[in-house]
Amino acid sequence: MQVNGIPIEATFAEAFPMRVTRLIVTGHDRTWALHAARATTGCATSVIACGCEAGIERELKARESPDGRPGFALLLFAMSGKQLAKQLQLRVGQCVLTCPSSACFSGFEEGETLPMGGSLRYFGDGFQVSKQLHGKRYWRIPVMDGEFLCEEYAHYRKDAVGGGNFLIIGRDTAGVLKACERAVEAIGKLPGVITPFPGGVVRSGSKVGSKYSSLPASTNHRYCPTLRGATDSALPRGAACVLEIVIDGVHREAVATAMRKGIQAACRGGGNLLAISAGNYGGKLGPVHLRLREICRGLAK
Amino acid sequence: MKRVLLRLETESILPLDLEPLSTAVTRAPSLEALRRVQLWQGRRRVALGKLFQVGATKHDVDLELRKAKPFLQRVGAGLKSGRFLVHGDVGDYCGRGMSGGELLLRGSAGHGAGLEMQGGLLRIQGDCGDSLGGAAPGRQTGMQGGLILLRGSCGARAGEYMRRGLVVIQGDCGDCCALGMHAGTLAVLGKSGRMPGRRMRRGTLFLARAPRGTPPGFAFCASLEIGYLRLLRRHLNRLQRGLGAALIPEPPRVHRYMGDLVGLGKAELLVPLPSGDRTDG
Repeated sequence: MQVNGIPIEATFAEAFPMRVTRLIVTGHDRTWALHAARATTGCATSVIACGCEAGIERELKARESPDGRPGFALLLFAMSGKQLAKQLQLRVGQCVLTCPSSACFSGFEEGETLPMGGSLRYFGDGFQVSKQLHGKRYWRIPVMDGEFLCEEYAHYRKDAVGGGNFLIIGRDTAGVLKACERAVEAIGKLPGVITPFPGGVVRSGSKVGSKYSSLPASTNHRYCPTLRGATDSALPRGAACVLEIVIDGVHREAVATAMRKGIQAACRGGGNLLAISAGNYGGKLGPVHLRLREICRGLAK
Repeated sequence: MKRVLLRLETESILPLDLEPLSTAVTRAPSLEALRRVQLWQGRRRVALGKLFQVGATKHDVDLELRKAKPFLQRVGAGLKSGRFLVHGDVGDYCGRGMSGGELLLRGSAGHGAGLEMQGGLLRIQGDCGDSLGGAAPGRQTGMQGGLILLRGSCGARAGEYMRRGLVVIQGDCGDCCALGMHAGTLAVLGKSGRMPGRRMRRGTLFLARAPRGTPPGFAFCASLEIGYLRLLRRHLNRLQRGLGAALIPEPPRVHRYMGDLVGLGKAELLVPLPSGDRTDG
């Protein structure tokens, strides 16, 4: 199978069930809402070391946000509800509460609950006030620029999928980077997905385990061009750069759609691409298998 | 039964207690059964069918009551579910102790409307008497939930000992509104009487028109934007077109006072800044 002349390998992306919550962060204007959003989703590329994977899902127009101000929808993924609760409290407490003019709301209307304003309220030292509107409770915590308004609970879904991915293999870094940029831009327009790595792209794809016993993961040597020839390389002849786009989504379909759109955009420019592949661990770790050729059905030319 | 129409056919100097209707309308298997429901009229019990013409309504409500008169007491009291539509003025304790459902009164109510209400929606398109959403005499627990929208004006002690919920008065209110309030929100679009927020402990009193001077027991804090008011404005706009916008300015900049400092002092009095006034402090 080929898309725009670029081979699609007969493999699959190995993804994992995750828990996801959506937050809506608003601010006085776009600038301050973006400051809060970026801080909250900072250092959240991989659950392995960051505790969660997070990103900006999309920008909200003022009329779409609960308080009528500019804002952003954020998605936070973790392996368990408990882990998500911890990260939520940490990130909203340290990154949204601290950001001038910000407010924070739950982006999901239903699902299991995670304490948010309900636990941050104690920062108010007894001066906090709760208000109930339309069946939801909000906490008003006095801060130095007025009040931090925060919904009592965030809701989370259990059917999220993390670790959807595809690899873009090419002859040089410039061509592969351009392909990645096209893919990330296309994925960024889709609802319910994020690409948590810097610029949406990761160069340090990993495999499970290491020769060093203390490390749970290490570099995926089969895709390192510098090791081709010396190891059991998975790279085609002429490959000099491999970049991975990792996608987390609120459900399997969202991830599959994002992979399809991303691959389609990456292959549009041609350039020096040699193949599209995907990262997996032989199917032993993640129960969600996203087969590239199924996902790309209909794209092939 | 659903879509019941009751047309009052008598006059009386004796109060007629309509609280049994709040449950009977949904429980009665037929109009005939509804006609047999016993109501207290003064000290006597009277069958509903002797006082009302019973039929079916075209409106999408559980009960439509036409030609209501002020001797009808406790209309919609104890309502738990369903929608009631009442045309005409009613007496005291309309919607008392409601815990759900919706009561729309196209007329005025007497004293104690929404008294000790726990949930649901009470809309009054006319005026009402004292103790709107308040506490029964001798008790210190007023409204505990729900929403009251009053189109007209009300008497004294609106929101007395209120603990939760939202009351919006689009006309004027009498003396001592939010007296001893524990929590919740009371908003007044018109003029307020003397001593607003007296003995308030917690909760929010929003006065769209500034009272004469700072109420006793309240201290000025700051003039600033309150984010919660944006949510309240949206919520009210959904309930009644333009209501939130009429009540709360955009941006929601208000003078904030805290009080009543004679007591706990954690209540807030919010007064919108005059348009164009953007002075802090």
